[in-house]
Amino acid sequence: MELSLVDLRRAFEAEDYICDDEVIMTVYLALKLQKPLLVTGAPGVGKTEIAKVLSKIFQTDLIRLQCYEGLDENKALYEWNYQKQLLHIQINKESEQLGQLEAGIFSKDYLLERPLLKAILTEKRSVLLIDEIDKTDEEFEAFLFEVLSDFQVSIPELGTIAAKQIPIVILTSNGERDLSDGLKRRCLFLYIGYPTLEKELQIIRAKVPGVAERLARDIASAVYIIRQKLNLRKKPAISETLDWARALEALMAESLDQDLIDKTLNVVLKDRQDLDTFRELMGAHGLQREIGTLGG
Amino acid sequence: MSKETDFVIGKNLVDYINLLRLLGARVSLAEILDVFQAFEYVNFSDRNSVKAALKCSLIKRHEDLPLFEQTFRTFFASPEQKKEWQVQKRQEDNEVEQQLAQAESDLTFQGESLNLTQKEKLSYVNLDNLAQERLQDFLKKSSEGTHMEKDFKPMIENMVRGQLAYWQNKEENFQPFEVPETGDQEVDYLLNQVQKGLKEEQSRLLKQDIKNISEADSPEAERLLHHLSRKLATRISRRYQQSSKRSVIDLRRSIRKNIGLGGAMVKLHYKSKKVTKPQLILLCDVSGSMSKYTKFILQFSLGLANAINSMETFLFAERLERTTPWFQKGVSFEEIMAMLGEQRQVWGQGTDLNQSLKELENEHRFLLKKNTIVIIVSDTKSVAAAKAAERLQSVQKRVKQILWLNTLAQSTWDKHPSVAAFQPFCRMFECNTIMDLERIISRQLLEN
Repeated sequence: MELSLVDLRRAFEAEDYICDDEVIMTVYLALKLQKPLLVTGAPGVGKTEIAKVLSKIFQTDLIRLQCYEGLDENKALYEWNYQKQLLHIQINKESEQLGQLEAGIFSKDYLLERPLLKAILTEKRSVLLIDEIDKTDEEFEAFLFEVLSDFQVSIPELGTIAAKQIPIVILTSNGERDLSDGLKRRCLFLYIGYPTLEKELQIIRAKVPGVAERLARDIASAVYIIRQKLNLRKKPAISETLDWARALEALMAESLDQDLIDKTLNVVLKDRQDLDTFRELMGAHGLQREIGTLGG
Repeated sequence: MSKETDFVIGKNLVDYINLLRLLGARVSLAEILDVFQAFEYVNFSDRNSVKAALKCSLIKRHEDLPLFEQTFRTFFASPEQKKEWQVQKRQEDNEVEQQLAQAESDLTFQGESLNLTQKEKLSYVNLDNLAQERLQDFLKKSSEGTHMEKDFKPMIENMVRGQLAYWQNKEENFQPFEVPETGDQEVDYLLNQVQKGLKEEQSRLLKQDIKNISEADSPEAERLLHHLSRKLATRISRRYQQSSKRSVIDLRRSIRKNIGLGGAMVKLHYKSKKVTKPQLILLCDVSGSMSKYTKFILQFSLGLANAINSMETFLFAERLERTTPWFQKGVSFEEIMAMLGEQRQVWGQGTDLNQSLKELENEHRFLLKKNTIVIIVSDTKSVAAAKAAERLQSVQKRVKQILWLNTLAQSTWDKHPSVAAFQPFCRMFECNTIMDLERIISRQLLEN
């Protein structure tokens, strides 16, 4: 499916993904150039969501590789089904020659596809999400080079397998460590920051449709003020704003008041020191006053 | 697009990338090709689209984003804006010329101008009136003094240089980073414009000498340090963690586990690589000369110590104190600073590295092992430097290596004999910015 820039923007909006034009332009270029897109930014700003939205837009599978310490090619690319191979050998050891036995067990029937191989072998162009790449080791990053630049994998027993359709690849990173230059060179880069007040309000309206208008504006203002005025260890992200909106909606609140802020603040601030900083430097009363000032 | 338009776009792009590279952004050939490909899908009448295409293809590090923004604003500024800047630049150049002329006429010995560099003359111009008058008075008296020959001029010049260097060091304005001179007037002018703009950006904190970080910037610098130390600590603890990654089949365990299956090796077991964690010892100088660095280095140590259980921390001045318990989980940074304030009275204001290392060797000998890495953060200014160097050598023989993070600028090391005395027994690095601190710890502990 070919999409123009305008179509892509509309499609993102239709999926309730509210973002800047820069995000749309970068995703558009990644699609056109068929290059992986490396998305970085604080946790909860909507990095993973881009892949999910793309899979919905293109009505295709989202193949997700969640990265973690110790992830290796066996879990990311492929693995031989060792037990099945063993059974094959046991059953056929009398009837088959050694050469035949070998050829039999190193075929696609005995291959366990892991996310990377699955994304390459799929008939329809899929979306491959390599989530939190910064959590893996440098060796795994290097291993990804072949997949990300040539969209092919080399399996010693089978040879090189090229992608049937070049997948849409989205890599995300929380910036816990620097990624290698080799990996970055193979990708287009997108940094997603915190949204503006107006954008955040739009996001709340789109994602939590039942929330009262006044409450939505108060929440967006409160989060904006907290991010701007307090020097926190972990600033509230969009996901936390939405959690707060859902929590307040469940409490059937119409607007934010001091009592509600005090009782629900731990939905937005998840670090003990940040909560202390908030109470010490601003407090619910101060926040409410600031919201009033911002609202004019 | 016509060939001419293509050529102009290509030339502009190459010039722009050249500018980015001169300012320290890493842009490879592959990335340049990406931009050219991306431009096929970009509407050139839309400035934001062009910017997005350049940004996503050329900039791959978050910390380079302010540089990109500033460079883009400068390079692709409107002709009117550029004209305005050029007028400003000309005015500034004229002012500088006038100031230099003023300095030349003020700084004379027996009617002859002193042979000073442009930088020295400018630092004279930036002095307050009182300091300028003192210098002029000194030159006047020297010129008129009895038995003052013309041959004394080089000596007088040296004395004036020394004075100016003193004031220069004391009041040196922060520069975000050194901008290289290319000789191309237009490029140099753009580089200066970008540098001016970058002064305002937050990333300057990373590259600013810690002692120059103002009170107002302090919370931001602390937040930055906290973030960096957490990032590093995560990497360090991962680097030395037992990995679940498969490596070699553990035959013994595999055979044992499969006995029940008739000997067929259905369930395999793997050996994982054995990792040895290094023992880290951090020795932080908290003497008077280091006071401006202490707060930030302790903040950084706290971040590291929270993640690396095996790290031992010592603070030293005229004597050494083991402060590892201070950095245990749950102790806040404010509490550490309060304890430091109390202890400072006991430890003194000077530095006695010899005494401190002696205490380390005598009382904490069990920590000095072959897998121990000692990190010393100090400006090397210590009494009895020769004895301290001997002691350092003795410690060096017991441990894997000593990393010395020297807060003095490397360009001044040759003026401090203590640096030369300590250097043979450790790996010494210039470390006076947050970026230096992060880079050195990262490279030395993770990449070696």
